[in-house]
Amino acid sequence: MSTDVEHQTAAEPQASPEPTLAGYVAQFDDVPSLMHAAEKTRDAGFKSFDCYTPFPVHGIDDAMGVKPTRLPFIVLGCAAVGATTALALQFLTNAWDYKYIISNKPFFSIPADMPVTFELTVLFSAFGALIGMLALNNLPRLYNRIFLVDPFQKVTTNGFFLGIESEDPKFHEADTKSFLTSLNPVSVTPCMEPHENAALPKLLAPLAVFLLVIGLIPLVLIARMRAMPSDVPRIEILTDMDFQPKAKTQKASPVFADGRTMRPVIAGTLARGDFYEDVAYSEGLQPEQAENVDRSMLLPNAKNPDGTTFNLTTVPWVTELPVEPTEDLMARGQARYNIYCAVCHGMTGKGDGLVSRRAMELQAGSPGIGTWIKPITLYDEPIRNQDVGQLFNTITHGVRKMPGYASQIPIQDRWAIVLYVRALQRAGSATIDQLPAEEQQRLQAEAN
Amino acid sequence: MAHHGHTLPVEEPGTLEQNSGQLGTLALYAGVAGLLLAVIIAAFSGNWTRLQFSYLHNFTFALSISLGALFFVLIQHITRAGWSAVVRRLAEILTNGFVPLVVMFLPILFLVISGSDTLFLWNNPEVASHDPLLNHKQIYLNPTWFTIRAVAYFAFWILCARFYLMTSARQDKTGDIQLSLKMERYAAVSLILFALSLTFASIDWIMSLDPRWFSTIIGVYYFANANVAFYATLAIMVFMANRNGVLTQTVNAEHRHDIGKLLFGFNCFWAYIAFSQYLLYWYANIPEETIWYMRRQENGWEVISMALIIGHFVIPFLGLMSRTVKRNPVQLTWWAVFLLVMCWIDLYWLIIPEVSPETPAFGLIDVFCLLGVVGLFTFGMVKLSADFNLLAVKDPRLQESLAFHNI
Repeated sequence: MSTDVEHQTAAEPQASPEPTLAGYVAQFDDVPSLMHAAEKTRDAGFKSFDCYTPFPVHGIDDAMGVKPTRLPFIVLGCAAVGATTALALQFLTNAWDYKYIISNKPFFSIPADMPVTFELTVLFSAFGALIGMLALNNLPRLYNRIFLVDPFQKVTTNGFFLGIESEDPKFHEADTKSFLTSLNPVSVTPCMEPHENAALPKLLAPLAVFLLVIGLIPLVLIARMRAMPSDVPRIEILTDMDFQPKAKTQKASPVFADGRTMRPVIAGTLARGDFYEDVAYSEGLQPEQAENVDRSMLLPNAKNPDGTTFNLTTVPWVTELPVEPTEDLMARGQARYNIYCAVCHGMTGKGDGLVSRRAMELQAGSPGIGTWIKPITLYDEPIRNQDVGQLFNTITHGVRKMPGYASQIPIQDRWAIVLYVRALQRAGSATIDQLPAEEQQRLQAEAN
Repeated sequence: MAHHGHTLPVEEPGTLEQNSGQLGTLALYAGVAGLLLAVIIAAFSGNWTRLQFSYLHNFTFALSISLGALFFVLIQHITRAGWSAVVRRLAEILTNGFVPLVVMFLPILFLVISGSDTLFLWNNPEVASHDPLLNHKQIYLNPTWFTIRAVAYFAFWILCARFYLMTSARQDKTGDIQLSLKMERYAAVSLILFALSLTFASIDWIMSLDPRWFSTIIGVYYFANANVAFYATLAIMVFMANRNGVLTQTVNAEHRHDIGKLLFGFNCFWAYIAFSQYLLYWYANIPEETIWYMRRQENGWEVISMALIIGHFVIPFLGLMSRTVKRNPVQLTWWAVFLLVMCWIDLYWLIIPEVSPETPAFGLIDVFCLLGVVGLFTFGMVKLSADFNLLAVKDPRLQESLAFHNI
């Protein structure tokens, strides 16, 4: 016991200052008398006062003369900031710092920016509403002195309270007390403000700030280490799965004798699904001479040993389609051609596809920067004279700037395209006397 | 329902006929004269096509007000809303507009059945047989099925509207709470049917004007516009009633505030829906979708498009935001009139480019069709509402509504 008392006395400051008066709290019996009291207090000109009830009371705002909240303006301001942030962010990233063409839309494009703008506007508004509401309600706070008023415990059950605070310019210790008494309350209790120093030592706040700053230093150092070049090994707290025991392509491997991670194809084997007995069908080569063909020469821009460009026409290509040219195959070929080829080569094979035209336009606008070469016309003499096997090979491996389409177009479809290209070539190089008689007459009539 | 224990007085505002004066007769004259003048102008200028489109445009405009009103009535019942009891009868009266509208729909129906393809290109078998898209849509877009659907829509709308008006009017005499519960029960299924009928009606009468175009959101778009048109009309009706000394004891700033909030909210909803459709079409850039917007982005139509963005969203968004504006009768009415005009222009923008892609010019035909359709709509509505109070005087939630207070 005695130690306890001693301890208590030691903890408390020797000269504890008197608590100051923070206001008066009057208790009422029911809603009407509280309403009446609120109206009186409002009419008496008090500003810093509040009503406390166990449940929401309609009309209490009017009775207290509460002004409409400023919250909407805070939210509106936050919404404007949100919208501006979103637009500025998208302008800086898409139209300024890193221009990137997406579907040929403008770099700064309001319709595309609208969803993000909408979301940020709503997000900022929500934050504004929440934080603004908390701020306007003086929240969060460590304690509220009104809880120290004894009868106030009843506020959650059946107590109705009206408190006038000492900050009010009209507040006067004796007058305010007698004013509240004149409203016929159950009781009027002074609300005391416990002295700040009684609870917290003076040094606590600076110490907290100091510790907070100290605590940030490791984080700052880590952030700096992560962002700056350094010649000492990196500190790894979490490896983020950066290093895994797996074999990476192009890396040396201690497992195999030749030290390579990637395994070369074993001679005489084929990957699953890669084997076609019919080289005419799968490669467009004449079966009996295919053994002698160096396949590496079939790739784009292949060079002879003497440095000259390899002449693809010397390869023993098949001259006849290895598939049956049906009407269905032709239709299939047209559809595939229009999907894969027409964007550059044009629907008629003239080399005027949309991509090509757009690229030429862009180049014409800024000469000297483009590397686009207009695709050749498919019914030029040299192309027309190519064997179907070579056309097939071109689709498979590509030629000059054109990439190979083997991974995108299955073999059957490649032949369908070859068939359709043949049809385009026939149409594109046809002369009038090759047309049927009635078509000739129709054209004649139109010309006249 | 805290009313502080005492009952608020209920005024007996009388019927619409007692209060509207010569409105019905005037509307009849205006309607007949408007339609006659429109027909005469069309006859002299030989512009029958434009007359049909303009008529359809104004028909959908008047229809949107009644549809919005029916939705309002249903949604108040299903949510058991208290605040709206003082204005619900006005909405119920507006739904009487379906009856004149079904009569006004007969000419359109007659044209479709008689094989005219002026309004609806899909009604041309020659074109439809050559166009694969139209060919596939024949199973839905054909005169017989079109007629059956139209009959079904109007049957539901009129039955539903009359049911709610008559039941509510019966309550005016008996004050039977069971009637309110009955209306609440039917509201759920009615809302489902309402959503379906409005969606398909807007597909039939607005979207299929360009039968090659398709939008999955046209129903919602028309619904959003219908709500804006209705709340604007309701605000104007409340203002007119108060100016004539009716409902002054019942409808106050609190109710205006709520009407204003809903008008504001549904106007934002309209903008959201309109933009949702535009963004997807703009982004995907698929020809059969964008052609519809292309028509509205050139030859002067871009001016109307921009006017809608600014006039139907930006300006009213800022204008209607403030609490003061929503509570002030004159200011709220001003914005309601403004938005009603915008709703009309919005439907103009939806429909007229299909007939006049080369110019957005308003013509006298548009003006007289508006006068004609809205005149006859008003006349029918007033005539059919002759026996009904302007206030659901014995609604069990009327006291709650009278004591209603916005936080």
